[in-house]
Amino acid sequence: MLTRRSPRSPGWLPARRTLFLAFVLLTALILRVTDVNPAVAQSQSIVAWRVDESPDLDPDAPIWDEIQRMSVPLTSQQVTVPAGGGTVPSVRVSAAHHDRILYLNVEWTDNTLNEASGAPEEFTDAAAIQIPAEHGSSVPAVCMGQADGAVNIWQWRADRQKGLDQLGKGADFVDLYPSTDELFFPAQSAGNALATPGADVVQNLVASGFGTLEPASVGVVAGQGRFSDSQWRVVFARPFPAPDEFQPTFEEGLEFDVAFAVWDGHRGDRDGQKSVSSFVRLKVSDTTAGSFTAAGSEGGSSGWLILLSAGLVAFVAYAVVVLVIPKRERPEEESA
Amino acid sequence: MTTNPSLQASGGGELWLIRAAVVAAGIELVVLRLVTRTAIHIPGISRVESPYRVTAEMGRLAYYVAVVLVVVALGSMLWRGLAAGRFGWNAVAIAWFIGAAGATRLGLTSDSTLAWSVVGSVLMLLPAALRRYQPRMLPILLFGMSFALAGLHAATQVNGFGSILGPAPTGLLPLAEALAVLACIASPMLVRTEVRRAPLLIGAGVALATFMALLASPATVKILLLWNFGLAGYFPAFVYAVAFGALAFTALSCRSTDAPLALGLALLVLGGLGLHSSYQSGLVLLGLVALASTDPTPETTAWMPEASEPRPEVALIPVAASWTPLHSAEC
Repeated sequence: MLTRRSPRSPGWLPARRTLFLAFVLLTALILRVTDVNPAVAQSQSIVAWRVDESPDLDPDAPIWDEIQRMSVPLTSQQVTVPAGGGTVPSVRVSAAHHDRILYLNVEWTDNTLNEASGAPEEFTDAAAIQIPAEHGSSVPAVCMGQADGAVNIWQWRADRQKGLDQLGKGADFVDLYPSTDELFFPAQSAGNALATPGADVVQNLVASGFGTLEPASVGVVAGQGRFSDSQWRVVFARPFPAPDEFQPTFEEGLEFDVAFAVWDGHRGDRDGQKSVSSFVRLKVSDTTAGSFTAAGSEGGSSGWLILLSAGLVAFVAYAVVVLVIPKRERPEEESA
Repeated sequence: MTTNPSLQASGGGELWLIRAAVVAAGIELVVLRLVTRTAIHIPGISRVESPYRVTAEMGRLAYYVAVVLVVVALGSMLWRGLAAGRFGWNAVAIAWFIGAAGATRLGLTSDSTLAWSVVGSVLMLLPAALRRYQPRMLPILLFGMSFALAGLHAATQVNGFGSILGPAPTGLLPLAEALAVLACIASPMLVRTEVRRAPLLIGAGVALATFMALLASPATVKILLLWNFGLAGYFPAFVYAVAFGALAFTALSCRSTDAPLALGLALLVLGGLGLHSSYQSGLVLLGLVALASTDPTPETTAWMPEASEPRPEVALIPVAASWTPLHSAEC
């Protein structure tokens, strides 16, 4: 019988409690100092599978049908003005890498195509990806990073893509953005990097906190968006090596944090008014895709139905067995 | 009302550990998940950088303390149960979780293994907790099912598992949240004392504060709900107000008369809905173990009710004696 008088069962006497607390505190301190976290995150993770053929910048490349899309929830941005957004409930993200280039395919539902921002009341659809400059256990603030934790932001804009697509195709010059005539573009004339003509579709930006967002001095992020059936699909692509210390270096086997933002031009989203996610994990896998079937296949729903039904039946059966079988009378209860 | 003196034991072995874990996890929740996470977004926070860093460091330390306490509490319960020769489903559930969490941390198994292990462990522990509260088990059943559904939503999005079955049904998360909210609203069913004024007033205060906060700044509060409790905020403000008020009333009502119930509910709240980290999943499991432990049998491994055959008491002496029972009355 358990007894406190036994030399091996002294119980939680005050002295032992103090000793135990000291042990816990010491262990915690050691873990903190060595930055060893016994727990592991269980948040969503997007896996960038290695693929045998390059998806290029085609959002509809066949390889994307073979990779599961992760649904990442979005919410409105309420930290700084202009606040708001949140009208896009989620983005679906898939990732792959080929020949040491990382590809991220971001897809979301948008009932209206907005790719013009020529008038004050017009706003464009856009999407952005934010990745901390350094991968590791310490995640910077999701809102533009922090002083000791820079973030790299890739922003794709529909108006920018349209402007660049149509440059040199005989379109009405002044209606396009970006253009090359400074007469109609004071920001460009003033040297605003965000209005730079000839730039890439995706703006490559870095930030280390509020008010520090600026174009990256080096490095190019490629991108291409496509709108069809009320869906935007945008592919971002960047080589693994980091151009500088403010941008992440991707390697197989490493994990990164990544956050997403979407602007719905029809709803007046611009600047801080957007739908944003928190950080989720991005794993650059050293496994080649192809060992699994296509996500969203026809059999998907029925497979889920079978799994959930089987789980429900098993749990109910188990619960019935545990709950219905009468409890044994314990000697202690009888004596009590 | 049945008041079990053993449940009031403040010095019982694992009960004391669980209480310490609740305190540490509570500090971690408030300081790390709430204060520093929101303060970092305040423009000009750098002007008070030193106090901010000290506060954040305290929160991190509380986190590590809570992690250690959760591991020790679960490990000690498993050890004591196994030493007593009780190899019930609860022991399997805890061993499964500890093994999967440790193996995943060491890189021996995948995240998906851990995710499914957590869901499986919770479902295995649930009936034991339900049996303790027959016939008032509805709140615990609702919470268990909501956690399982939210866990499924996350588990199927880890490492491409969902690619086998197709995308997870989109309604899983809202359904899980609805069940969690219902569990909170139904939680006063667990109170077996007469309604006292103080818990009632505090519960009403929590409800009012929640409602006002959600009205004043719905986006910020919903983000905090999502971060801290895994609730996405699908429903109107008054629903969450009633739910949190009811939960506060329940926890306070049974704090002195049914400590394991109060601690168990606190741990479920601290762990949150769905899968966030093995630490928070550990809190939920510990909460279910605490809920399953409200058995007035101070000298037994009461948290393992499915034991096949009680061993002779003499068998407890050499191995199990290193830990006092959860509800020891000797404090």
